Amino acid sequence: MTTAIPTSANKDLGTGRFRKNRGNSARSIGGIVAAIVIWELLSLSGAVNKNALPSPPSTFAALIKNFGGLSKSLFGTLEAWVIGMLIATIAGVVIGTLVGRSPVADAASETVVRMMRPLPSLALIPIAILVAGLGLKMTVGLVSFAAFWPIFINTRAGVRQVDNRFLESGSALGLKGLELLFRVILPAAAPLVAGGIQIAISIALIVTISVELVGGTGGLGQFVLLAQQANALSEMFAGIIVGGFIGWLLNVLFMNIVDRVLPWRTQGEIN
Amino acid sequence: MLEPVLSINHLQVSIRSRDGSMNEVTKDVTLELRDHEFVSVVGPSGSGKTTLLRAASGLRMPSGGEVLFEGRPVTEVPKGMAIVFQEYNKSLFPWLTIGKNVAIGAKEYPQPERVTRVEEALEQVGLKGFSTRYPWELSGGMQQRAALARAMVSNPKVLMMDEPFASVDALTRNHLEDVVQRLWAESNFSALMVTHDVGEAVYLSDRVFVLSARPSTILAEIKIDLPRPRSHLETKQMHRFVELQAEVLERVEEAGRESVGLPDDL
Amino acid sequence: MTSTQNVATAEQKSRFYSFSLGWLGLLALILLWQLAAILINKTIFPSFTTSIVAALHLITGPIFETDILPSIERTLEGFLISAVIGIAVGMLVGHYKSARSWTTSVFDFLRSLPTPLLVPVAVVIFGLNGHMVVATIVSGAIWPILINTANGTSTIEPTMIDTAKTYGLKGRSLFLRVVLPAASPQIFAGLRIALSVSLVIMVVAEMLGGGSGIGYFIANAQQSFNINGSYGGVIILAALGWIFDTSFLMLERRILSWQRGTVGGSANA
Repeated sequence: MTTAIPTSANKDLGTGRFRKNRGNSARSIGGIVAAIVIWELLSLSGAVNKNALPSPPSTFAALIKNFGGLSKSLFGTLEAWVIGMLIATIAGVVIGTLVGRSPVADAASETVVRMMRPLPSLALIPIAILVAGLGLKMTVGLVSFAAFWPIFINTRAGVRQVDNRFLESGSALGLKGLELLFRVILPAAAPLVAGGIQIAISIALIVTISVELVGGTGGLGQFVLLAQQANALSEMFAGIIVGGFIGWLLNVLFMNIVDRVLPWRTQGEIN
Repeated sequence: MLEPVLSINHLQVSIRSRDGSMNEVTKDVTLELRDHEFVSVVGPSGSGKTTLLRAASGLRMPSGGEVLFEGRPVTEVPKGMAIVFQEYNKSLFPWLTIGKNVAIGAKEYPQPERVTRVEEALEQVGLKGFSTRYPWELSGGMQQRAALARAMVSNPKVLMMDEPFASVDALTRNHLEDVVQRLWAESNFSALMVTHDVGEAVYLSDRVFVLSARPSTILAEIKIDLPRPRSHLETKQMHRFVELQAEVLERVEEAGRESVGLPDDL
Repeated sequence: MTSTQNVATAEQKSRFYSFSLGWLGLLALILLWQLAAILINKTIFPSFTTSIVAALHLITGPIFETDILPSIERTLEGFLISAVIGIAVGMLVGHYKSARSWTTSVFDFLRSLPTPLLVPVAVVIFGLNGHMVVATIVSGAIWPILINTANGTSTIEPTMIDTAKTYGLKGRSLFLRVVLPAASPQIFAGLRIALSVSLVIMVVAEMLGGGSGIGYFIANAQQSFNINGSYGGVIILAALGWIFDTSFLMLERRILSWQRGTVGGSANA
């Protein structure tokens, strides 16, 4: 049986330990300051490679100077990301629920899931370029394909493993059909579905940026690649910082939404 | 008179609570454990028995007072002290076989001797032939006996026990109590046990200390003058046993009432 | 006795049933691919059989030594380096609360970085070669291991640490003999994710500048319209992913064999 994908992300969702134990936010900020100081020292000493590591001030200067270009690139990246995620989430949840509720479909999808799960989806970039050509359509197609799997796998597992007692008490209350689905099954599976979406969020970002890097289709990936080719390293690092920030922000936003919508979730993972 | 093996002097322990404030659990506890003596500490739930035991064995720094083991201050678990915890399933390492778990207690001994010591210790607790099994293959009572074997294998001077029989059923508990009693009679260690079970404390001990509610102090010390060896069938029917049990129970309930009464005082 | 035997055979039957259904599902998907390819009949969409033949052709040809083997080496090298650093740092961060509070924000940011963005940096530092690929893999694969190890370490039962201290295990032996095995179920979960991350990052790094390797080959095949070659390359990568994952699971099952009965079922039966 393939179970839900256990991940660090999932773990966070499960216990919130790593996040909620932050305790001392002063130390947390101190850590960031220390990291920037280490970066500055590394860049000053030239320990890495004289030309490879721009200093923090010049990176931040580049960040401000290229604000317009960076935001345009970022919007390009987010456009493909948002559309891809929407398709993947709808398809993953719907198909995952259908398959999870049907024992035959569940068994029939088992081997396919096992084969697809470890497939390095980025290998499909060249084929996607061949089939669909360069452009938003191709990026969205690949992003939704890659992001579909974790959502589908976790939804399937969540729906399949809904506790029979919930189902029985639901039926005992006279719920059936769609009502049972929306009022019992999906809420019970929701923590796992959320875990799948959380994994998909970073996968989708990685795929979007990879397509931009390989295909040169604009966005943050192309911004960083062009900066590197022009030997504009401060700009390159500025692009990377923006990428890290947006990755972090998407994750935090999603976690906050999950915290609001699913305050009862205690377990984001099933072993 | 002989110097006590373990002396706890004016021990005070505070725990940092979640909101960051310090919470005094143990206020002032003084007691001595003499050579080859069996002492129990009983108290109402929440009186900080486990905290007291952890501080007395060097697993937690006290905020005041001192603990002396054979005259030397305790800063970490000293050699010659063994501890048996309530949660055997979290104390036995699940990734090691029973034999290897017990061998951890015997790591001071060189190799050929270590194996025979482990075998002997397992035999003492009636687990001969189980050394290649994993903890999950054994029942709860057997797991706690394995934990006992691990504690005994190093030939300790002091055996500390934290509610050692609280997680098993009543019949298994009686059996485990007798295993401990026999081990204690056959060897020459001193035992300090914390428990909430008054009958168990009276049945096993030479002296019983009653702990007050939090922040705890010693409310009473009661000498148990029952003849040894003791047995469940005979000892527990003795008039003296019933009397002593009632006496201890009365003091424990007093302590419990005190804590229930607390809100009125506030 | 007979009733339990009946239950056993019934269970075996249903297991066999779902097993065959699983393979039927895969077969159906392959047939669909084959039919679609025949119907569409376009050069950019070769059939399943054509792709498999292309993959076999690649494996038996010179590509095996020039591209496939280097890719496997880089992936495993990056994975192993990530494992060593990730487990070591993760245990320290998980065990010491203050280390955790200092590093949480920095680690949160670093692990949010979309790893492919770091390929250009690695190219500047290492040039277009295998070292660049390995470095990029490490920068992405280290995080699931580190975070899972830290989480596993910080949630170890306090009684277990107390027990270790009771028997004089401290410092390095505390970490190696108690913390590491106690956190190992979560560490393995992190390692499994990291292994698939390693493969993914290997592919994109090689496409962008590996100089050789299966990712490099697929990208080249596409640019030179060697269509069967790129499909064959993808099939090889899919097979590699499956082989890595399956062997990892077998290894995990062996190493964590003690876990039977302790998880969920607990030992109080």
